[in-house]
Amino acid sequence: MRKKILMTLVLLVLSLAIVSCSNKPKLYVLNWGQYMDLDLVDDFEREFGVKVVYEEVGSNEEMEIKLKQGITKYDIMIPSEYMIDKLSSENLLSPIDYSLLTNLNEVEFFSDATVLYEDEDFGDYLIPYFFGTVGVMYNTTNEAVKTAVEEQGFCALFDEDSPFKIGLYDSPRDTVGAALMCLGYSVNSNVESELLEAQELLEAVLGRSSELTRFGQDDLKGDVARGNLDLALVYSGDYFEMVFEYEAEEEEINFDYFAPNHTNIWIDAFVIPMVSENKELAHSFINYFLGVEVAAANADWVGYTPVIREVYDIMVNDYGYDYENYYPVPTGSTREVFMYISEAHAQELNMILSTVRSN
Amino acid sequence: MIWPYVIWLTIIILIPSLFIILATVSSFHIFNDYTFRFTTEFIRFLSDPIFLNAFKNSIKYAGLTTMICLLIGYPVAYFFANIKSKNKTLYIALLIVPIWSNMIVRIIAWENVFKPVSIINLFNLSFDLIGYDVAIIIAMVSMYLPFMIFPIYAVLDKMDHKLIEAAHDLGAGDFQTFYKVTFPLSLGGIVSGIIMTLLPAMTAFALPERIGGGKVILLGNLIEKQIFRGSFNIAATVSLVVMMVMLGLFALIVHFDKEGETLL
Repeated sequence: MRKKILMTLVLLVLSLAIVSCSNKPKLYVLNWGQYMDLDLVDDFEREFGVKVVYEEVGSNEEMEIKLKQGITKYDIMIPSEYMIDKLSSENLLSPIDYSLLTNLNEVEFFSDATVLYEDEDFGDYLIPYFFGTVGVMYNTTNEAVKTAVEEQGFCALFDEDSPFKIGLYDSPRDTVGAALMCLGYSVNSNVESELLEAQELLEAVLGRSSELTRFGQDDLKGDVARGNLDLALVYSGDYFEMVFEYEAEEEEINFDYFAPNHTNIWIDAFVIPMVSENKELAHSFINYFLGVEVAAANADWVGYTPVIREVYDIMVNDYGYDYENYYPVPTGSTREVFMYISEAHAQELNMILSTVRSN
Repeated sequence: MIWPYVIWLTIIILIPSLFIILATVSSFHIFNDYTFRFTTEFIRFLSDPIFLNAFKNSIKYAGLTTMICLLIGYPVAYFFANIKSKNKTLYIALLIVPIWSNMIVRIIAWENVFKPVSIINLFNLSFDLIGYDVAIIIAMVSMYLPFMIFPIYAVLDKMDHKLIEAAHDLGAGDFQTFYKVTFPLSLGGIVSGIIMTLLPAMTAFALPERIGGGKVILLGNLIEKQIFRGSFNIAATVSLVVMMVMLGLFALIVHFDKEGETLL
């Protein structure tokens, strides 16, 4: 009797193993949360007869750790420019084979996007995905907040006499970067005295009453929209996500976005890690998302600004995306991109954020 | 047949602990390219305000939470152990119900209640407590209270009632009986309850992060932030400190309780 049960169990486990181990080739994708329409990924799976194993992370650094752990041999990742810079300098990325990307001939990238990487060493390792700015999202119920944001720009986030509830991004690069830009320095400043000034700015605003300043991530946008915060540092896409959500719910929109004249521009892009075991399929995946129709459907789902001109035009003309700030580089603005300077610089930014929080 | 246990211990506990020690005293890194060298950076970090602040916060919040849990939990456990109802098991089971929902969900629920615009506006109430100690303590007590109640309840429930009757027969009043008989006999449960509450509270990180508005840093937050920002050495140092504190507490318990009753 016992033997019979054991045999049944063994058979069951074996059959399960066989079912789960289909012969389809697998493509491992590592992306941010809410950053790709998964229905389109399903379509890709059907069209190419493959299985896409899709994983999500919350930061560039997490992506880096996941890649370096080596547990999964990722075929596609979508990090930001400074992380691509770092990973390519560590020989972890494989150059893009443009001849495999047939849809490239059908599309044109905005030069405001390509200028961010074209002349860099890592320029041959990526295909751009979305781009956008960092700015201040604020609640419009109180007229004084709008005035402060428009007059002070990023400095509105670091005003120690501000009576407003302020949200800062729990990311050293973005928050220290905004403080540096408020001071009029480069977002990539590696000058000790300038970084110290930025740190003092942060300390001053955190020195206010407890409920007035706080750190957050994805939760900041919702809190500004609902009125739990007056203003917060956010990515442009955070703001648009809230706009779309409120439009869909037909709720009144009491928030707006302000991109200071000098701000950080970021660009996220497809890369193919060196460890990828299916580079051809990875190229097919990128190529699929370069198709204008697919890219437009994806851009509508994601809400960030597409880098492809044809897709952008569809968004504005057909999908009604004629929002102010949708295009991240208006004429006459100063846009600065993050650069990977050194591990020591990254750790210093990290330490600044840790230090201001331990006072 | 101690072998399976030895293998288990080696893989799950010994090797990872050695990695942590190695990462503390050297530039050892699992993910980054690095040149191996020994470092004494961790000695300096142990007196760094960042670390001292996190350590102080951990002791403060975990200590307060444990104390409040004990003050609330003991009477509750005493009450349930002494009620004479056939539904006793049901009442006790109801105390577990909150644990059935995921802790993160409960943390976010508390977070939303403590923000000015929240569901409790329906009752004309509004809190603005994110970032305040009181909010963190309330949420922590609500998370860890069941872990205090159950061990104490288990001891009180199993206690031989004849001892109390004997105390009464010998002339002890209610208070004296409690103080001389019930309380000493329930000490094992109290110690278990304190460990079950104190240790998770000390290493909590999601809760202080969300309810503290990202400004209250406990040891757990420090480890999490340093790992995800690549400071392996610092994360390992903090982990080692946490492990030492736990081992210290463990040693204390073993010292006072040689038969190991409280841990069962």
